[in-house]
Amino acid sequence: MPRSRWINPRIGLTAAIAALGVLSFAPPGAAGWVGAFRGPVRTVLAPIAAPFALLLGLVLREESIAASGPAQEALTQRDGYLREVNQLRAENDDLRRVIADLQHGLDLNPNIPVRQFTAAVIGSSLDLSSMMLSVRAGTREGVEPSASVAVVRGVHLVGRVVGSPSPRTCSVLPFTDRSAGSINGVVMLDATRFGPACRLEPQGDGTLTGRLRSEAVLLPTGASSAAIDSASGGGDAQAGVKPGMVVRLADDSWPQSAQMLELGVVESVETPAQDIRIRTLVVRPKYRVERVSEVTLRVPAVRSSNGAQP
Amino acid sequence: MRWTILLLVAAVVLGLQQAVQASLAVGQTSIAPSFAIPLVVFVALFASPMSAMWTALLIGLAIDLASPRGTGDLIVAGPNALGYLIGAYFVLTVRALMYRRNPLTLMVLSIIACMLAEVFVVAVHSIRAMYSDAYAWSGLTQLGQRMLGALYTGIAGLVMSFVLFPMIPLFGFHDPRERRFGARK
Repeated sequence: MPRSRWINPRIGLTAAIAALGVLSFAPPGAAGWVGAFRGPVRTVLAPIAAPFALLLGLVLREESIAASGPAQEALTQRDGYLREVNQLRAENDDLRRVIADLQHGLDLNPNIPVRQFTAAVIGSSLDLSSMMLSVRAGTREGVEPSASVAVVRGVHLVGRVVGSPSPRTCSVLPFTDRSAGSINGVVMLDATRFGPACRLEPQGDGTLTGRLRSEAVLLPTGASSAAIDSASGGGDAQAGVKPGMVVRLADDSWPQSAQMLELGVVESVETPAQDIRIRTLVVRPKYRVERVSEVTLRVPAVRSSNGAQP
Repeated sequence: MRWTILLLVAAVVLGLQQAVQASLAVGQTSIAPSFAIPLVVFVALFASPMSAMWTALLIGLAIDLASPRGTGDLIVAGPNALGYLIGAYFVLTVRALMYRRNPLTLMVLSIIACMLAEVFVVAVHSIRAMYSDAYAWSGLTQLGQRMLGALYTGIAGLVMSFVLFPMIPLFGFHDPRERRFGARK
């Protein structure tokens, strides 16, 4: 009798409300264990969502059409080569710097090799204020938080792995999510010429806005960005940064292997009336990164003791 | 109420929401329809109060658990669960005044319940943002977008009523009117 008095739906509901009320305001450190319950929910929802997503993909053929066809393949190939050229050029500059540093007796870290593989996006956040993607690849595939980045179509940055990946799944936070924080990039004046650097802030609507750096800065790849005056052709603003130009990642806080990946294209460039020395720009990724169905994960490849890759 | 049927339908509805919500969103905003709210409202219209509130709490909790945030992949359990509970409680209080089998009822109540739930969700996250920077949060922007999303949810509610109402016998809801005169059918 006492058992039925204390264990009934009404008291259970009251207790659940009280517990959820506390958890709603619990600091991240105290409520971290709740994340353990996310796995079962994802396990149930992912297979149910997959057929709907497939059906939606057939209805909205925009992405799949863009992904197929020889023209698109050629474009993807071109983008890949361009990135390689830029990275090789930057590496060349970097090697020159390394040689100079070695000559000064400095000990430098070797380049970290990268392994790439495609992984399906099995879900996104049910609350659209967060753009987090769940990807079917985890620690079994060598995914590491922060060091692993996700791209789409080979060179277009999606985001990086955050949190603690499980053996089979991981979470990718798109770089366009406001929680991802600011990101440094460099505007490409043409396919291989570096323009001014910029610091971009995600706006939450898929775009990033920020200021062009007026001075030349040393990029993480070892190359230098252009000063804004030299980029604008000696003061001629029309010859400088223009809408349509590609912006690439050049940020120390991102893995070296991710540098020069494409962030997006310049949508607009403006000069605020209050200070004509400042130029702000809006950058939009070529793809809606929070809606991709598959990503390529770039994870650090572990070197064996003799230095050979696995 | 048959909980097995409800859990199956809830899983399908949440799966549908996860798959199509971003595609139905207006631009890259949070203005998107919720399919879970009309289901909660539907249950609150026909089920016993206790079943309705548990349903709202569980569906809201599932949404919380499937909404990781920020660079720490943080799960905040509670805002949607309690928000949906508030929405369901509102429906329970007004359902006696409603033509319950009218699709427009589900539509209108979905809009109001969604607004109530979203106000609570925004309030919780806004308070959290005062002492935690685990994820970025813009209260006013979210509130505006979610209120418009609630209107959008009304359309989803109207469409879902044509699927849910024919399923009423499947759910095995207990109709309180059956016992009004001391006899059951």
